[in-house]
Amino acid sequence: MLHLLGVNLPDQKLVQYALPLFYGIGQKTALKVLATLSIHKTCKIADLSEPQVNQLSTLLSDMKIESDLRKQIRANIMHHRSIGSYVGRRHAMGLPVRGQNTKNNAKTARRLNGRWLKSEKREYSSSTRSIIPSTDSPFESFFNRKWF
Amino acid sequence: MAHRILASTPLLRTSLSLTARARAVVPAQYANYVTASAVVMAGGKAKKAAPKIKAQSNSFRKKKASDDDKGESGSGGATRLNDKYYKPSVPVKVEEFLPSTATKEHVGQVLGFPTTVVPALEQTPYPTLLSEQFELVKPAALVVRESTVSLLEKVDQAMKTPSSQNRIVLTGEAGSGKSALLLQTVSHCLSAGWIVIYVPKASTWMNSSFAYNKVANTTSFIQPLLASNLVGQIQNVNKSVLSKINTSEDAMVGRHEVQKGTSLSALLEIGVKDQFASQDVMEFFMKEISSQKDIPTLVAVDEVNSFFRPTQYLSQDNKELDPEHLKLSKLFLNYISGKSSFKHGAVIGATSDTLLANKSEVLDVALGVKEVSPYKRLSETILPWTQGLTSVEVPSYTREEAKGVFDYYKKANIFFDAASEPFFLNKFITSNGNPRKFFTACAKGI
Repeated sequence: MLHLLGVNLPDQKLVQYALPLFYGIGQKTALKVLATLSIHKTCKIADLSEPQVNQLSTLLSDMKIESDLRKQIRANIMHHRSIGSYVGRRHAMGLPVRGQNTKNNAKTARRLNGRWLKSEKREYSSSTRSIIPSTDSPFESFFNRKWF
Repeated sequence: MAHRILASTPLLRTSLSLTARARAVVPAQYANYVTASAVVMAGGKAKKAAPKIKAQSNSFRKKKASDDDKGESGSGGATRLNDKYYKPSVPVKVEEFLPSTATKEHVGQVLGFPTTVVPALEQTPYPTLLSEQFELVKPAALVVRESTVSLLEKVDQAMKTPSSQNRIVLTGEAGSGKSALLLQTVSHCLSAGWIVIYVPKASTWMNSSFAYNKVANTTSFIQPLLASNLVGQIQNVNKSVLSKINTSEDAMVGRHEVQKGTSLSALLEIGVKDQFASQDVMEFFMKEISSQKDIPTLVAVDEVNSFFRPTQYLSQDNKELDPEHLKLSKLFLNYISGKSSFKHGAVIGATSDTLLANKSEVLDVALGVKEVSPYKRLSETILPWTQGLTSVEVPSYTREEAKGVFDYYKKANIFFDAASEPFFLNKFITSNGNPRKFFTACAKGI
Protein backbone atom coordinates (compact mmCIF):
# COMPACT_ATOMS: atom_id res chain seq x y z
CA MET A 1 0.00 0.00 0.00
CA LEU A 2 1.70 3.15 -1.20
CA HIS A 3 0.43 6.26 0.51
CA LEU A 4 0.92 9.24 -1.76
CA LEU A 5 -0.45 12.78 -1.32
CA GLY A 6 -3.36 11.62 0.80
CA VAL A 7 -4.39 8.64 -1.35
CA ASN A 8 -3.73 4.94 -0.73
CA LEU A 9 -2.51 3.14 -3.84
CA PRO A 10 -2.83 -0.68 -3.56
CA ASP A 11 0.40 -2.55 -4.30
CA GLN A 12 -1.00 -5.08 -6.76
CA LYS A 13 -2.69 -2.47 -8.94
CA LEU A 14 -1.12 -1.42 -12.24
CA VAL A 15 0.23 2.13 -11.97
CA GLN A 16 -1.81 3.03 -15.06
CA TYR A 17 -5.03 2.17 -13.23
CA ALA A 18 -3.95 3.33 -9.76
CA LEU A 19 -3.23 6.95 -10.74
CA PRO A 20 -6.90 7.72 -11.62
CA LEU A 21 -7.68 7.09 -7.96
CA PHE A 22 -6.49 10.67 -7.47
CA TYR A 23 -9.19 13.29 -7.85
CA GLY A 24 -8.29 15.13 -11.02
CA ILE A 25 -6.42 12.33 -12.81
CA GLY A 26 -8.20 10.24 -15.43
CA GLN A 27 -7.06 7.65 -17.96
CA LYS A 28 -5.37 10.12 -20.27
CA THR A 29 -3.41 12.04 -17.66
CA ALA A 30 -2.37 8.74 -16.08
CA LEU A 31 -0.80 7.66 -19.38
CA LYS A 32 0.88 11.04 -19.75
CA VAL A 33 2.37 10.66 -16.28
CA LEU A 34 3.66 7.18 -17.18
CA ALA A 35 5.16 8.51 -20.39
CA THR A 36 6.90 11.40 -18.63
CA LEU A 37 8.44 9.10 -16.04
CA SER A 38 9.19 6.26 -18.52
CA ILE A 39 7.18 3.70 -16.59
CA HIS A 40 6.04 0.72 -18.66
CA LYS A 41 2.31 0.02 -18.85
CA THR A 42 2.40 -3.30 -17.02
CA CYS A 43 4.28 -1.85 -14.02
CA LYS A 44 2.60 -2.43 -10.67
CA ILE A 45 2.79 -0.06 -7.71
CA ALA A 46 4.95 -2.60 -5.89
CA ASP A 47 7.46 -2.59 -8.80
CA LEU A 48 8.17 1.14 -8.52
CA SER A 49 11.62 1.98 -7.18
CA GLU A 50 12.28 4.67 -4.52
CA PRO A 51 13.56 7.28 -6.98
CA GLN A 52 10.59 6.60 -9.24
CA VAL A 53 8.16 7.09 -6.36
CA ASN A 54 9.87 10.37 -5.49
CA GLN A 55 9.68 11.53 -9.12
CA LEU A 56 6.01 10.54 -9.19
CA SER A 57 5.16 12.47 -6.05
CA THR A 58 7.06 15.55 -7.31
CA LEU A 59 5.19 15.41 -10.60
CA LEU A 60 1.83 14.95 -8.92
CA SER A 61 2.39 17.76 -6.45
CA ASP A 62 3.01 20.09 -9.41
CA MET A 63 -0.35 19.14 -10.91
CA LYS A 64 -3.66 20.55 -9.73
CA ILE A 65 -5.35 17.55 -8.06
CA GLU A 66 -7.30 16.60 -4.94
CA SER A 67 -8.07 19.49 -2.58
CA ASP A 68 -6.50 22.19 -4.82
CA LEU A 69 -8.74 21.18 -7.68
CA ARG A 70 -11.79 20.95 -5.48
CA LYS A 71 -11.09 24.47 -4.19
CA GLN A 72 -10.80 25.78 -7.72
CA ILE A 73 -14.09 24.24 -8.80
CA ARG A 74 -15.84 25.56 -5.71
CA ALA A 75 -14.33 29.01 -6.25
CA ASN A 76 -15.59 29.07 -9.85
CA ILE A 77 -19.13 28.27 -8.81
CA MET A 78 -19.05 30.65 -5.84
CA HIS A 79 -17.96 33.37 -8.23
CA HIS A 80 -21.21 32.92 -10.15
CA ARG A 81 -23.15 33.10 -6.91
CA SER A 82 -21.42 36.19 -5.66
CA ILE A 83 -22.01 38.14 -8.87
CA GLY A 84 -25.68 37.04 -8.78
CA SER A 85 -25.72 35.43 -12.21
CA TYR A 86 -28.28 33.00 -13.61
CA VAL A 87 -25.70 30.21 -13.45
CA GLY A 88 -25.15 30.86 -9.75
CA ARG A 89 -28.87 30.86 -9.01
CA ARG A 90 -29.32 27.54 -10.78
CA HIS A 91 -26.46 25.96 -8.85
CA ALA A 92 -27.98 27.18 -5.62
CA MET A 93 -31.43 25.81 -6.51
CA GLY A 94 -29.98 22.48 -7.61
CA LEU A 95 -31.41 22.76 -11.12
CA PRO A 96 -29.85 22.39 -14.62
CA VAL A 97 -27.46 25.22 -15.34
CA ARG A 98 -26.91 24.99 -19.08
CA GLY A 99 -30.37 25.67 -20.39
CA GLN A 100 -31.77 22.14 -20.27
CA ASN A 101 -35.49 21.44 -20.05
CA THR A 102 -36.90 20.97 -16.58
CA LYS A 103 -40.43 19.91 -17.50
CA ASN A 104 -39.15 16.34 -17.41
CA ASN A 105 -35.72 14.83 -16.95
CA ALA A 106 -33.66 17.04 -14.71
CA LYS A 107 -32.82 14.19 -12.40
CA THR A 108 -29.04 14.40 -12.44
CA ALA A 109 -29.08 18.14 -11.85
CA ARG A 110 -31.53 17.82 -9.00
CA ARG A 111 -29.35 15.13 -7.43
CA LEU A 112 -25.93 16.65 -7.95
CA ASN A 113 -26.03 20.34 -8.67
CA GLY A 114 -26.09 21.96 -5.28
CA ARG A 115 -23.17 20.11 -3.75
CA TRP A 116 -20.39 22.65 -4.27
CA LEU A 117 -22.41 25.34 -2.54
CA LYS A 118 -23.60 23.14 0.32
CA SER A 119 -20.03 22.32 1.25
CA GLU A 120 -19.18 26.00 1.00
CA LYS A 121 -21.95 26.79 3.46
CA ARG A 122 -20.83 23.96 5.71
CA GLU A 123 -17.29 25.23 5.72
CA TYR A 124 -18.17 28.68 6.86
CA SER A 125 -20.93 27.55 9.18
CA SER A 126 -18.91 28.46 12.25
CA SER A 127 -18.13 31.95 10.98
CA THR A 128 -19.38 35.04 12.88
CA ARG A 129 -21.85 35.89 10.13
CA SER A 130 -24.25 33.08 10.95
CA ILE A 131 -23.87 33.30 14.75
CA ILE A 132 -24.93 36.95 15.02
CA PRO A 133 -28.69 37.10 14.20
CA SER A 134 -29.95 39.52 11.57
CA THR A 135 -31.43 42.80 12.95
CA ASP A 136 -34.05 43.05 10.14
CA SER A 137 -37.67 42.17 10.73
CA PRO A 138 -38.91 39.02 8.96
CA PHE A 139 -40.74 41.26 6.40
CA GLU A 140 -37.55 43.26 5.70
CA SER A 141 -35.28 40.22 5.49
CA PHE A 142 -37.65 38.68 2.95
CA PHE A 143 -37.38 41.69 0.64
CA ASN A 144 -33.69 42.21 1.30
CA ARG A 145 -32.92 38.68 0.16
CA LYS A 146 -30.70 38.80 -2.89
CA TRP A 147 -31.78 35.45 -4.31
CA PHE A 148 -35.01 33.55 -4.70
CA MET B 1 -36.47 -26.24 -14.00
CA ALA B 2 -33.63 -27.53 -11.93
CA HIS B 3 -31.80 -24.32 -12.74
CA ARG B 4 -34.49 -22.20 -11.15
CA ILE B 5 -34.49 -24.34 -8.05
CA LEU B 6 -30.74 -24.15 -7.82
CA ALA B 7 -30.90 -20.38 -7.98
CA SER B 8 -33.25 -20.14 -5.00
CA THR B 9 -31.68 -18.80 -1.83
CA PRO B 10 -32.22 -21.62 0.67
CA LEU B 11 -30.24 -24.03 -1.45
CA LEU B 12 -27.57 -21.45 -2.24
CA ARG B 13 -26.77 -21.08 1.40
CA THR B 14 -26.19 -24.74 2.07
CA SER B 15 -22.69 -26.09 2.30
CA LEU B 16 -23.29 -28.74 -0.34
CA SER B 17 -21.21 -28.84 -3.53
CA LEU B 18 -22.85 -28.03 -6.83
CA THR B 19 -23.18 -31.69 -7.84
CA ALA B 20 -24.76 -32.57 -4.49
CA ARG B 21 -27.23 -29.73 -4.85
CA ALA B 22 -28.08 -30.79 -8.37
CA ARG B 23 -28.69 -34.32 -7.20
CA ALA B 24 -30.90 -33.03 -4.40
CA VAL B 25 -33.31 -31.26 -6.77
CA VAL B 26 -33.56 -34.01 -9.38
CA PRO B 27 -37.06 -35.58 -9.27
CA ALA B 28 -37.29 -39.27 -8.43
CA GLN B 29 -38.22 -40.30 -11.98
CA TYR B 30 -34.86 -39.09 -13.29
CA ALA B 31 -32.81 -40.23 -10.34
CA ASN B 32 -32.10 -43.67 -11.78
CA TYR B 33 -30.84 -42.43 -15.15
CA VAL B 34 -27.25 -43.56 -15.51
CA THR B 35 -24.94 -41.36 -17.58
CA ALA B 36 -21.74 -42.52 -19.21
CA SER B 37 -19.72 -40.43 -16.77
CA ALA B 38 -21.30 -42.30 -13.85
CA VAL B 39 -20.08 -45.57 -15.31
CA VAL B 40 -16.58 -44.21 -15.77
CA MET B 41 -16.56 -42.73 -12.28
CA ALA B 42 -17.75 -46.01 -10.78
CA GLY B 43 -14.75 -47.71 -12.35
CA GLY B 44 -12.32 -45.08 -11.11
CA LYS B 45 -13.85 -44.72 -7.65
CA ALA B 46 -11.35 -47.02 -5.96
CA LYS B 47 -8.46 -44.77 -7.05
CA LYS B 48 -10.27 -41.48 -6.57
CA ALA B 49 -9.84 -39.68 -3.24
CA ALA B 50 -12.90 -38.39 -1.35
CA PRO B 51 -14.20 -35.23 -3.02
CA LYS B 52 -13.68 -32.06 -1.04
CA ILE B 53 -17.02 -30.50 -0.13
CA LYS B 54 -16.27 -26.90 0.75
CA ALA B 55 -18.67 -24.13 1.62
CA GLN B 56 -19.49 -22.43 -1.66
CA SER B 57 -18.90 -18.80 -0.86
CA ASN B 58 -19.95 -16.24 -3.44
CA SER B 59 -16.80 -14.21 -3.01
CA PHE B 60 -13.70 -14.73 -5.09
CA ARG B 61 -11.40 -17.37 -3.62
CA LYS B 62 -7.72 -16.87 -4.32
CA LYS B 63 -6.08 -19.98 -5.79
CA LYS B 64 -3.29 -21.27 -3.57
CA ALA B 65 -0.09 -22.72 -5.00
CA SER B 66 -1.14 -26.22 -3.82
CA ASP B 67 -4.21 -26.16 -6.05
CA ASP B 68 -2.12 -26.16 -9.20
CA ASP B 69 0.44 -28.62 -7.96
CA LYS B 70 -0.94 -31.78 -9.50
CA GLY B 71 1.82 -33.32 -11.63
CA GLU B 72 1.23 -33.81 -15.39
CA SER B 73 0.73 -30.78 -17.55
CA GLY B 74 2.00 -27.31 -16.78
CA SER B 75 -1.36 -25.65 -17.41
CA GLY B 76 -3.55 -25.27 -14.32
CA GLY B 77 -7.12 -24.38 -13.48
CA ALA B 78 -9.76 -24.51 -16.12
CA THR B 79 -7.42 -25.63 -18.89
CA ARG B 80 -6.20 -28.71 -17.03
CA LEU B 81 -7.23 -31.90 -18.79
CA ASN B 82 -9.55 -34.19 -16.87
CA ASP B 83 -7.78 -37.50 -16.14
CA LYS B 84 -10.98 -39.46 -16.70
CA TYR B 85 -11.38 -38.41 -20.30
CA TYR B 86 -7.87 -37.63 -21.51
CA LYS B 87 -5.44 -40.48 -21.32
CA PRO B 88 -1.80 -39.48 -21.27
CA SER B 89 -0.34 -39.65 -24.75
CA VAL B 90 1.92 -42.50 -25.68
CA PRO B 91 5.39 -41.18 -26.56
CA VAL B 92 6.13 -42.25 -30.11
CA LYS B 93 9.54 -43.50 -31.15
CA VAL B 94 10.86 -41.11 -33.76
CA GLU B 95 14.23 -40.67 -35.35
CA GLU B 96 16.23 -37.58 -34.64
CA PHE B 97 16.10 -34.45 -36.77
CA LEU B 98 19.75 -34.15 -37.69
CA PRO B 99 21.52 -32.50 -40.63
CA SER B 100 21.91 -36.00 -42.08
CA THR B 101 18.23 -36.87 -41.79
CA ALA B 102 16.72 -33.57 -42.95
CA THR B 103 16.95 -34.46 -46.63
CA LYS B 104 14.66 -34.98 -49.61
CA GLU B 105 14.41 -38.73 -48.94
CA HIS B 106 12.94 -38.03 -45.52
CA VAL B 107 10.23 -35.59 -46.63
CA GLY B 108 7.03 -36.69 -44.96
CA GLN B 109 8.74 -38.26 -41.98
CA VAL B 110 8.19 -36.90 -38.53
CA LEU B 111 11.51 -36.47 -36.75
CA GLY B 112 11.99 -35.45 -33.15
CA PHE B 113 14.41 -32.87 -31.82
CA PRO B 114 17.72 -34.48 -30.90
CA THR B 115 18.38 -35.07 -27.22
CA THR B 116 21.48 -32.87 -27.41
CA VAL B 117 19.39 -29.98 -28.70
CA VAL B 118 16.27 -30.27 -26.51
CA PRO B 119 17.83 -28.68 -23.37
CA ALA B 120 18.87 -25.68 -25.47
CA LEU B 121 15.40 -25.42 -27.05
CA GLU B 122 13.76 -25.56 -23.65
CA GLN B 123 15.58 -22.45 -22.46
CA THR B 124 12.82 -20.53 -24.19
CA PRO B 125 9.14 -21.45 -24.34
CA TYR B 126 7.89 -22.94 -27.61
CA PRO B 127 5.55 -20.77 -29.70
CA THR B 128 2.18 -20.85 -27.93
CA LEU B 129 -0.03 -22.86 -30.27
CA LEU B 130 2.80 -25.24 -31.14
CA SER B 131 3.46 -25.87 -27.48
CA GLU B 132 -0.17 -26.95 -27.05
CA GLN B 133 0.43 -29.55 -29.76
CA PHE B 134 3.65 -30.68 -28.10
CA GLU B 135 1.81 -31.07 -24.77
CA LEU B 136 -0.68 -33.38 -26.39
CA VAL B 137 1.62 -35.30 -28.70
CA LYS B 138 4.87 -36.31 -27.11
CA PRO B 139 7.75 -36.10 -27.89
CA ALA B 140 8.12 -32.69 -29.56
CA ALA B 141 8.57 -33.63 -33.19
CA LEU B 142 7.96 -31.94 -36.51
CA VAL B 143 7.52 -33.28 -40.00
CA VAL B 144 10.24 -32.76 -42.60
CA ARG B 145 8.67 -30.73 -45.39
CA GLU B 146 9.86 -29.66 -48.80
CA SER B 147 10.10 -26.12 -47.51
CA THR B 148 12.27 -27.42 -44.65
CA VAL B 149 14.71 -29.00 -47.07
CA SER B 150 14.94 -25.90 -49.28
CA LEU B 151 15.36 -23.55 -46.31
CA LEU B 152 18.06 -25.72 -44.78
CA GLU B 153 19.89 -25.73 -48.10
CA LYS B 154 19.91 -21.93 -48.01
CA VAL B 155 21.10 -22.00 -44.41
CA ASP B 156 23.94 -24.36 -45.30
CA GLN B 157 25.04 -21.96 -48.02
CA ALA B 158 24.91 -19.17 -45.44
CA MET B 159 27.62 -20.95 -43.50
CA LYS B 160 30.21 -19.36 -45.79
CA THR B 161 28.57 -16.06 -46.61
CA PRO B 162 27.90 -12.86 -44.65
CA SER B 163 24.51 -12.55 -43.01
CA SER B 164 23.63 -9.36 -44.91
CA GLN B 165 23.15 -11.61 -47.95
CA ASN B 166 21.06 -14.15 -46.04
CA ARG B 167 18.12 -12.29 -44.58
CA ILE B 168 14.96 -14.30 -44.92
CA VAL B 169 11.42 -13.74 -43.66
CA LEU B 170 9.02 -16.70 -43.58
CA THR B 171 5.54 -15.69 -44.64
CA GLY B 172 2.31 -17.57 -45.17
CA GLU B 173 -1.23 -17.86 -43.92
CA ALA B 174 -2.10 -18.46 -40.29
CA GLY B 175 -1.19 -21.94 -39.12
CA SER B 176 0.86 -22.80 -42.19
CA GLY B 177 3.98 -23.79 -40.23
CA LYS B 178 6.23 -20.71 -40.13
CA SER B 179 7.15 -21.00 -36.45
CA ALA B 180 7.61 -24.75 -36.84
CA LEU B 181 9.94 -24.22 -39.77
CA LEU B 182 11.92 -21.70 -37.75
CA LEU B 183 12.18 -24.19 -34.88
CA GLN B 184 13.53 -26.81 -37.25
CA THR B 185 16.13 -24.36 -38.54
CA VAL B 186 17.15 -23.53 -34.99
CA SER B 187 17.49 -27.22 -34.16
CA HIS B 188 19.51 -27.82 -37.33
CA CYS B 189 21.93 -25.01 -36.56
CA LEU B 190 22.31 -26.10 -32.94
CA SER B 191 23.18 -29.62 -34.08
CA ALA B 192 25.63 -28.17 -36.61
CA GLY B 193 27.41 -26.19 -33.88
CA TRP B 194 26.38 -22.68 -34.86
CA ILE B 195 25.84 -19.83 -32.39
CA VAL B 196 22.07 -19.54 -32.22
CA ILE B 197 20.13 -16.55 -30.92
CA TYR B 198 16.46 -17.59 -30.91
CA VAL B 199 13.76 -15.11 -29.98
CA PRO B 200 10.45 -17.00 -29.76
CA LYS B 201 8.19 -13.98 -29.14
CA ALA B 202 9.52 -10.66 -30.34
CA SER B 203 6.19 -9.04 -29.49
CA THR B 204 7.01 -9.25 -25.77
CA TRP B 205 9.91 -6.87 -26.44
CA MET B 206 7.56 -4.20 -27.80
CA ASN B 207 4.38 -4.54 -25.79
CA SER B 208 5.46 -2.49 -22.79
CA SER B 209 5.85 -5.50 -20.50
CA PHE B 210 9.45 -4.76 -19.51
CA ALA B 211 10.79 -1.74 -17.67
CA TYR B 212 12.49 0.87 -19.83
CA ASN B 213 14.77 3.80 -19.05
CA LYS B 214 15.81 6.73 -21.16
CA VAL B 215 19.46 7.04 -22.02
CA ALA B 216 20.61 10.57 -21.17
CA ASN B 217 21.08 12.98 -24.08
CA THR B 218 19.65 10.60 -26.66
CA THR B 219 16.21 9.61 -27.92
CA SER B 220 16.96 5.95 -27.13
CA PHE B 221 15.72 3.76 -24.34
CA ILE B 222 17.17 0.65 -22.78
CA GLN B 223 15.31 -2.32 -21.33
CA PRO B 224 17.71 -3.63 -18.66
CA LEU B 225 15.75 -6.65 -17.45
CA LEU B 226 14.90 -7.80 -20.96
CA ALA B 227 18.51 -7.51 -22.08
CA SER B 228 19.64 -9.41 -19.00
CA ASN B 229 17.14 -12.21 -19.68
CA LEU B 230 18.26 -12.43 -23.30
CA VAL B 231 21.92 -12.54 -22.33
CA GLY B 232 21.19 -15.36 -19.88
CA GLN B 233 19.24 -17.27 -22.49
CA ILE B 234 22.00 -16.96 -25.11
CA GLN B 235 24.55 -18.14 -22.60
CA ASN B 236 22.53 -21.20 -21.59
CA VAL B 237 21.81 -22.18 -25.17
CA ASN B 238 25.34 -21.76 -26.51
CA LYS B 239 27.44 -22.57 -23.45
CA SER B 240 29.88 -24.99 -25.02
CA VAL B 241 30.40 -22.99 -28.20
CA LEU B 242 30.91 -19.63 -26.51
CA SER B 243 33.43 -20.82 -23.96
CA LYS B 244 35.83 -21.44 -26.85
CA ILE B 245 35.63 -17.94 -28.30
CA ASN B 246 37.56 -15.13 -26.62
CA THR B 247 37.20 -11.39 -26.88
CA SER B 248 39.60 -9.71 -29.27
CA GLU B 249 39.95 -6.44 -27.35
CA ASP B 250 39.47 -4.68 -24.02
CA ALA B 251 36.14 -3.10 -23.36
CA MET B 252 34.12 -1.31 -20.72
CA VAL B 253 30.66 -2.76 -20.20
CA GLY B 254 28.65 -0.70 -17.75
CA ARG B 255 30.83 -0.44 -14.65
CA HIS B 256 32.82 -3.58 -15.45
CA GLU B 257 36.09 -3.88 -17.27
CA VAL B 258 36.52 -6.74 -19.72
CA GLN B 259 40.03 -7.82 -20.55
CA LYS B 260 41.07 -8.96 -23.97
CA GLY B 261 40.95 -12.76 -24.12
CA THR B 262 38.07 -13.40 -21.71
CA SER B 263 35.71 -16.07 -22.99
CA LEU B 264 32.37 -14.89 -24.32
CA SER B 265 30.44 -16.94 -21.76
CA ALA B 266 32.25 -15.06 -18.98
CA LEU B 267 31.28 -11.82 -20.74
CA LEU B 268 27.64 -12.88 -20.81
CA GLU B 269 27.80 -13.78 -17.11
CA ILE B 270 28.45 -10.11 -16.38
CA GLY B 271 25.23 -9.23 -18.15
CA VAL B 272 23.26 -11.83 -16.25
CA LYS B 273 24.44 -10.57 -12.88
CA ASP B 274 24.20 -6.84 -13.59
CA GLN B 275 21.12 -5.98 -15.62
CA PHE B 276 22.21 -2.39 -16.14
CA ALA B 277 25.37 -3.57 -17.89
CA SER B 278 23.47 -6.09 -20.03
CA GLN B 279 22.81 -3.72 -22.95
CA ASP B 280 26.52 -2.97 -23.29
CA VAL B 281 27.29 -6.68 -22.88
CA MET B 282 24.83 -7.50 -25.66
CA GLU B 283 26.32 -4.91 -28.03
CA PHE B 284 29.89 -5.99 -27.36
CA PHE B 285 28.92 -9.64 -27.70
CA MET B 286 27.25 -9.10 -31.07
CA LYS B 287 30.27 -7.14 -32.28
CA GLU B 288 32.61 -9.94 -31.24
CA ILE B 289 30.68 -12.79 -32.83
CA SER B 290 30.13 -10.85 -36.03
CA SER B 291 33.85 -10.21 -36.40
CA GLN B 292 34.94 -13.84 -36.06
CA LYS B 293 34.80 -16.26 -38.98
CA ASP B 294 35.15 -19.68 -37.37
CA ILE B 295 31.62 -20.20 -36.10
CA PRO B 296 28.58 -19.00 -38.08
CA THR B 297 25.69 -17.30 -36.28
CA LEU B 298 21.97 -17.71 -36.71
CA VAL B 299 19.57 -15.04 -35.48
CA ALA B 300 16.07 -16.54 -35.51
CA VAL B 301 13.24 -14.18 -34.64
CA ASP B 302 9.63 -15.30 -34.42
CA GLU B 303 6.91 -12.63 -34.63
CA VAL B 304 9.34 -10.48 -36.58
CA ASN B 305 6.46 -8.24 -37.66
CA SER B 306 6.62 -6.52 -34.27
CA PHE B 307 9.97 -5.05 -35.34
CA PHE B 308 8.24 -3.18 -38.16
CA ARG B 309 5.47 -1.34 -36.40
CA PRO B 310 5.30 1.21 -33.54
CA THR B 311 5.79 -0.28 -30.09
CA GLN B 312 3.49 0.22 -27.13
CA TYR B 313 6.14 2.14 -25.26
CA LEU B 314 5.69 5.89 -24.94
CA SER B 315 8.30 8.61 -25.26
CA GLN B 316 8.36 11.43 -22.76
CA ASP B 317 6.20 13.41 -25.19
CA ASN B 318 3.54 10.70 -24.97
CA LYS B 319 4.20 9.48 -28.51
CA GLU B 320 4.59 5.81 -29.43
CA LEU B 321 8.19 4.72 -29.76
CA ASP B 322 9.43 2.93 -32.84
CA PRO B 323 11.52 -0.23 -32.36
CA GLU B 324 14.61 1.71 -33.46
CA HIS B 325 14.32 3.86 -30.34
CA LEU B 326 14.75 0.82 -28.10
CA LYS B 327 18.43 -0.02 -28.04
CA LEU B 328 18.07 -3.78 -27.91
CA SER B 329 15.55 -3.83 -30.75
CA LYS B 330 17.73 -1.49 -32.77
CA LEU B 331 20.65 -3.84 -32.32
CA PHE B 332 18.62 -6.65 -33.83
CA LEU B 333 17.11 -4.39 -36.49
CA ASN B 334 20.61 -3.58 -37.67
CA TYR B 335 21.25 -7.26 -38.36
CA ILE B 336 17.78 -7.86 -39.81
CA SER B 337 18.10 -4.92 -42.19
CA GLY B 338 21.71 -5.69 -43.13
CA LYS B 339 23.28 -2.57 -41.66
CA SER B 340 25.40 -4.84 -39.48
CA SER B 341 26.43 -8.26 -40.60
CA PHE B 342 27.94 -11.45 -39.27
CA LYS B 343 30.95 -12.57 -41.28
CA HIS B 344 29.26 -15.94 -41.62
CA GLY B 345 25.64 -16.50 -40.73
CA ALA B 346 22.00 -15.85 -41.43
CA VAL B 347 19.10 -13.85 -40.06
CA ILE B 348 15.74 -15.59 -40.36
CA GLY B 349 12.45 -14.15 -39.19
CA ALA B 350 8.94 -15.56 -39.15
CA THR B 351 5.83 -13.43 -39.25
CA SER B 352 3.00 -14.26 -36.91
CA ASP B 353 -0.74 -13.87 -37.36
CA THR B 354 -1.46 -14.63 -33.74
CA LEU B 355 -2.30 -11.10 -32.64
CA LEU B 356 -3.99 -8.79 -35.13
CA ALA B 357 -2.62 -5.79 -33.25
CA ASN B 358 0.95 -6.90 -34.04
CA LYS B 359 0.53 -7.06 -37.81
CA SER B 360 2.87 -4.87 -39.78
CA GLU B 361 1.47 -3.50 -43.00
CA VAL B 362 4.85 -2.00 -43.89
CA LEU B 363 6.53 -5.40 -43.75
CA ASP B 364 3.77 -7.07 -45.76
CA VAL B 365 4.01 -4.43 -48.46
CA ALA B 366 7.82 -4.52 -48.54
CA LEU B 367 7.84 -8.31 -48.91
CA GLY B 368 5.20 -8.20 -51.61
CA VAL B 369 2.73 -10.21 -49.56
CA LYS B 370 0.17 -7.42 -49.56
CA GLU B 371 -0.70 -4.66 -51.97
CA VAL B 372 -1.97 -1.30 -50.86
CA SER B 373 -3.11 1.74 -52.72
CA PRO B 374 -0.12 3.86 -53.85
CA TYR B 375 -1.77 6.81 -52.13
CA LYS B 376 -1.54 5.14 -48.77
CA ARG B 377 1.22 6.64 -46.66
CA LEU B 378 3.44 4.03 -45.10
CA SER B 379 5.62 4.93 -42.15
CA GLU B 380 8.72 6.57 -43.51
CA THR B 381 10.73 5.75 -40.41
CA ILE B 382 10.03 2.02 -40.55
CA LEU B 383 10.10 1.41 -44.31
CA PRO B 384 13.89 1.83 -44.70
CA TRP B 385 14.51 -1.09 -42.31
CA THR B 386 12.74 -3.51 -44.65
CA GLN B 387 15.15 -3.15 -47.58
CA GLY B 388 16.63 -6.33 -48.96
CA LEU B 389 14.54 -8.89 -47.10
CA THR B 390 13.69 -12.05 -49.04
CA SER B 391 10.29 -13.56 -48.48
CA VAL B 392 9.94 -17.35 -48.34
CA GLU B 393 6.35 -18.49 -48.47
CA VAL B 394 5.44 -21.49 -46.37
CA PRO B 395 2.70 -23.46 -48.16
CA SER B 396 0.12 -25.86 -46.74
CA TYR B 397 0.87 -29.56 -46.40
CA THR B 398 1.28 -31.68 -49.50
CA ARG B 399 -0.44 -35.05 -49.54
CA GLU B 400 2.78 -36.83 -48.63
CA GLU B 401 3.60 -34.55 -45.69
CA ALA B 402 0.07 -34.75 -44.35
CA LYS B 403 0.15 -38.54 -44.55
CA GLY B 404 3.35 -38.67 -42.53
CA VAL B 405 1.88 -36.36 -39.89
CA PHE B 406 -1.33 -38.39 -39.87
CA ASP B 407 0.56 -41.63 -39.20
CA TYR B 408 2.41 -39.92 -36.39
CA TYR B 409 -0.81 -38.69 -34.81
CA LYS B 410 -2.25 -42.18 -35.04
CA LYS B 411 0.76 -43.69 -33.29
CA ALA B 412 0.55 -40.97 -30.64
CA ASN B 413 -3.07 -41.97 -30.00
CA ILE B 414 -4.64 -38.57 -30.36
CA PHE B 415 -7.57 -40.09 -32.21
CA PHE B 416 -9.01 -43.56 -31.90
CA ASP B 417 -10.69 -44.06 -35.27
CA ALA B 418 -9.07 -46.47 -37.69
CA ALA B 419 -6.40 -44.76 -39.78
CA SER B 420 -8.14 -45.35 -43.10
CA GLU B 421 -7.69 -43.52 -46.41
CA PRO B 422 -11.21 -41.99 -46.41
CA PHE B 423 -10.72 -40.76 -42.84
CA PHE B 424 -7.39 -39.20 -43.77
CA LEU B 425 -8.88 -37.58 -46.87
CA ASN B 426 -11.73 -36.21 -44.80
CA LYS B 427 -9.34 -34.48 -42.42
CA PHE B 428 -6.99 -33.34 -45.16
CA ILE B 429 -9.63 -31.83 -47.38
CA THR B 430 -11.69 -30.15 -44.67
CA SER B 431 -8.56 -28.48 -43.28
CA ASN B 432 -7.34 -27.65 -46.81
CA GLY B 433 -3.91 -28.93 -45.81
CA ASN B 434 -3.40 -26.13 -43.29
CA PRO B 435 -1.14 -27.73 -40.64
CA ARG B 436 -2.81 -26.16 -37.60
CA LYS B 437 -6.30 -26.94 -38.85
CA PHE B 438 -5.21 -30.45 -39.74
CA PHE B 439 -4.02 -30.96 -36.17
CA THR B 440 -7.27 -29.69 -34.63
CA ALA B 441 -9.23 -31.81 -37.10
CA CYS B 442 -7.39 -34.94 -35.99
CA ALA B 443 -7.12 -34.13 -32.30
CA LYS B 444 -10.51 -32.60 -31.63
CA GLY B 445 -12.56 -34.04 -34.43
CA ILE B 446 -13.59 -30.57 -35.61
